[in-house]
Amino acid sequence: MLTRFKTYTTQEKVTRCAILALAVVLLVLPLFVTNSYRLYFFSMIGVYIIAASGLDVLVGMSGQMSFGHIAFLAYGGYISVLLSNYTGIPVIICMIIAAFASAGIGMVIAVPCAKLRAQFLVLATIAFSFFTYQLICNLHFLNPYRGLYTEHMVLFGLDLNSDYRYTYYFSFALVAIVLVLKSLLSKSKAGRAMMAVRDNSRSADGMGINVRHYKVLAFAISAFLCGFAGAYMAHLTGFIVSDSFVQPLSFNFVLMIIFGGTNTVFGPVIGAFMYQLLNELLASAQAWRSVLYGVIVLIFIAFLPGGCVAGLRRAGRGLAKLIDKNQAGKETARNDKS
Amino acid sequence: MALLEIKDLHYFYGNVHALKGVSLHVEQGEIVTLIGSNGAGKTTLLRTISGLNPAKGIRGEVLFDGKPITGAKGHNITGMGLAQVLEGRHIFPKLTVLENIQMGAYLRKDKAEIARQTEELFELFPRLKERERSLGGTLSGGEQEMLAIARAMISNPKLLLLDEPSMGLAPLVIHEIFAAIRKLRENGTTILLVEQNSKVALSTADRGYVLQTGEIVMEDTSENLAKDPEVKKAYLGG
Repeated sequence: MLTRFKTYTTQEKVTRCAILALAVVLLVLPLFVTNSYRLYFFSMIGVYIIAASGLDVLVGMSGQMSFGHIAFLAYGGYISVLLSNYTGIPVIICMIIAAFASAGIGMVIAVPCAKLRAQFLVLATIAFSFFTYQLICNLHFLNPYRGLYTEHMVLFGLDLNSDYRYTYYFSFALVAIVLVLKSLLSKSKAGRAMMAVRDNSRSADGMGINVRHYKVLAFAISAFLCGFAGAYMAHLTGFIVSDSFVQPLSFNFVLMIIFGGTNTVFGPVIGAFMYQLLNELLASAQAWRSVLYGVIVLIFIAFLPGGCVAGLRRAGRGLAKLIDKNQAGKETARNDKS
Repeated sequence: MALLEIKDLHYFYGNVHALKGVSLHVEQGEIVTLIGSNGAGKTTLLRTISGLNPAKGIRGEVLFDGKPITGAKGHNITGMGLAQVLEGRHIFPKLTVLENIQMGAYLRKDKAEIARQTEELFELFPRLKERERSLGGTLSGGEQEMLAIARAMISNPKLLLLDEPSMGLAPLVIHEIFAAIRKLRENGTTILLVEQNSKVALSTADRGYVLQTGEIVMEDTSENLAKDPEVKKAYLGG
């Protein structure tokens, strides 16, 4: 019992060290990477992490599937762009308003969707995202085919769009906030209730949990994060166009959480990185890209159904055991001498 | 006043008339059992009481603690002090034993009291204490049943509805679980017990009802029911 407890703490230490090391590497990265396309590329990963984390609240935590979450990025993006272009409200505030508006839309969609199961829910979300795309294409003031230019993000007098190093750190900060909030959510009463609904909605009902209420809440939180990601994406690229929101792009977010691991804080982070890196690396493979993608997804499903996080956890546990053994060895050696 | 009173309750699954005018009452501090063969409507009755069946099929009245709860939603009924252990346990497989029990206390806010009662339940089921940190899905059938009962008890119910606690369990484990059920009653919980295993149900309960194709056909003390020749023939194996 005691040794198990000890392993657990060592494992925790290993995890903390790994996270800290990753954070440090990411913080000093712009000192070495000065190519502005690369920095933009990394800033964009922040958008994907936020959106994938949002989807993970719905899929990983509450157990509902969606293949239409790109629609919430569209609502967030367009609402924020329209607000900032026409009213002159500071962009950062527009992004937050857009996220809340997107959460509101998510709630409206969730009320009927929370009654649906498995394949019916998936079809409903796909329909929702097709509807959204067609809506955008038919609203001429959005200039859907040629796109709209967007305002610059200004934070405390600093124009973030003037240098991609700024957006890089802004992405970093946003992702950190989202991850902290998400881990708090998973330990909170609401988070636990969502997981209970996911594992057994009947028993959850018997515990006094209002099942529909939490299904709707999960939709709203997930739409909030995706809406914010959409708004950030629009202001980051400086441009918004209907083609960024076609339904098949929804699959990308699903892929990210499958790669990374569902219902984990760092799953969407690793997933988004992997997804973007694969995209870049496979870019030269052109037609073969989709084929390679398919193979990689199949490998994941077959050998790492828990995603990269599950694999890393296993590695961390092994490392922790090794450290423990080493320490125990030294201790006995010391005892032998005395 | 009875803790639970059911007056002329009917239940319809679409066109199927599953309960045909059931009336029964459970007094404070009693263990009452409901026996009957497959398809008699035992589970339907429990699920109708606890609000897990759609309300549109209900005709009749259910009074809990003097208040009508007919057709109320399941999660609201739990808050009134009525807990149900579902047939087949339905524990949360990916949460640990302790977390499962904590989920049962979802509606409570007094952390210290919850911790104290959790310890009491661990005394009642020492096996759960041993497996405190294991995932619910890795427990044996008997342990899962114990966990389901503990999870229901932590909500501090006035009335506990038990659906088939002996299902698929070895005789020795059944014995252990029913000993615990008797102990729960000694501590003041009222229990409505639905069982296929009529022998052990009648030896535990104070009174019993026999349900047959949606109707109560007999009502008596458990002793008398166990002696009744017809009950013996139909449910106790001669």
